[in-house]
Amino acid sequence: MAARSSTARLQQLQHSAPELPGGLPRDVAELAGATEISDAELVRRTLAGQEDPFAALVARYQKRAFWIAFHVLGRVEDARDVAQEAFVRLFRSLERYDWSRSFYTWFYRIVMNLAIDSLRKRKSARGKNLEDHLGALPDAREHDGHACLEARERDEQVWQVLDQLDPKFRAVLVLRDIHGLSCREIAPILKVTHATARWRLHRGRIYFRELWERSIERDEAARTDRGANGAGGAGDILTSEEFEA
Amino acid sequence: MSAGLQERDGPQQGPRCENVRRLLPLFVGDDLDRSMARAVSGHLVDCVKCRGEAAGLQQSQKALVAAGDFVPAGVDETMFEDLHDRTMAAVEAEVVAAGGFEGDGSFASPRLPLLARGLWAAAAGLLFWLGWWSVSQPGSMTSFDGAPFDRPVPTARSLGEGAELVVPWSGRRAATRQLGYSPDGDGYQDAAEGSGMMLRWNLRSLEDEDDVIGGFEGPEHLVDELAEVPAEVPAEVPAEVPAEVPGARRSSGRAKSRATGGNVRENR
Repeated sequence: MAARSSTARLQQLQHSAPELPGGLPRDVAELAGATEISDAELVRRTLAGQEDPFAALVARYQKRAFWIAFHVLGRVEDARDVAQEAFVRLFRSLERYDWSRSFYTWFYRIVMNLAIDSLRKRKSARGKNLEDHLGALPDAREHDGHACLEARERDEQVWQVLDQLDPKFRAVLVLRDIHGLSCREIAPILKVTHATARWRLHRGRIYFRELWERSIERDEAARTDRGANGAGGAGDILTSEEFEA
Repeated sequence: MSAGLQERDGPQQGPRCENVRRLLPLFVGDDLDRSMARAVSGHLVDCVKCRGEAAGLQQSQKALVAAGDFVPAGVDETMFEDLHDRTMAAVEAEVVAAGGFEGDGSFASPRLPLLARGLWAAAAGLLFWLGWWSVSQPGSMTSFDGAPFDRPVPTARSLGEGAELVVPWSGRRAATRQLGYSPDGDGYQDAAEGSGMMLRWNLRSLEDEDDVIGGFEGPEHLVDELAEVPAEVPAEVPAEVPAEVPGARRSSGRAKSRATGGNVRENR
């Protein structure tokens, strides 16, 4: 069940050691991997003027930042830029860190704000564009087999549907269903009340389902049309060539 | 809500389905509390329509969750290593712009750039120096320096015993004296060099008519000159006191003062 999957993801995010990128300096890797050193402690050391603790924070959170941004934006390049900018913003505002709150909630808020801003700018600049999603898809040559192709098409449909959703619904769906955060955690990240977060989740799932079913119907209709036009299309080409000749 | 669901059990099948369908989007994501989720799942066992609705929601949600596992081309460990390097480079650039690294190789927390801090300090220093210079120059002239009239101001001594000095431009009951002159006749005592304008001049307002000071002692050379000034009202002194004079508000004293010419009044 989907709920089980998201719960497992939540546990993986919050209760396990973060997955660190390779190639880190030894000191940074040790700091980032030390579960007994909290995020707040790393912030404190950074404010004390050390460089390694901040590099460790980046190592701990860059994958999460990238994936949140990617799931909101649907593009690798944009997600990378947002993740990088989020850490720069984080560094600038470290002195304003509220020690009574969890670090990841604060950092996720920075990432989410940047991602939603970027999404809104992109939408207003270019409108809905299928190529935005195609760029995010894996190279088809890397996959073999019918199942992979089907999964790829399904993912493509999901991104198209997500792109039609209002950013506020999209943000809640991404944080809850993909990243497994609870509504109580989502509320401070989006700076809304718990009730608002639940309401957005409720409406977001209804909208997503409607758009998703419409997308599947359109897709099936297109396949049927392609199948019907396959023979007719060849006939048209032939007719056209005959006409030119 | 679960109590509401129980109440509508039995023949009222319609409203109950409606309530359950409102909860389904949260039910499929395991976002309902346990008792409510149990009530909804109990209803789904019996209601085919609601079960179909739940299946549709669950299918779309599954697709969304599955899309979260999708890894696009080009996203691998190398990309994350590169992202880490780029991020740290951007942060270090931020540090350099904000003030640079400290001696031990660590960076300081963000602050104003050096140039901006230097400019602020220079502007503040310049303002402070200008202010100090303007009040500390012994020879500096302000509107209060020097006599308000071309001729010497009459003093009580010059006007004779029992006369009260009235300075027209400062009100009937105000007397001025320069701190450098001693009222006890100890002679001229100049203010210390650099003591500033506010120390060299003092404006005293008297609140009570009975406390009117009879006058002040001026410098020796002025006292000698003023000794020849007649007790009559000088013609050059304006008869009417300007409206903006502080003492103009005291109407009773002012009326008497006007009657006597505006600047001299017999003591009671």
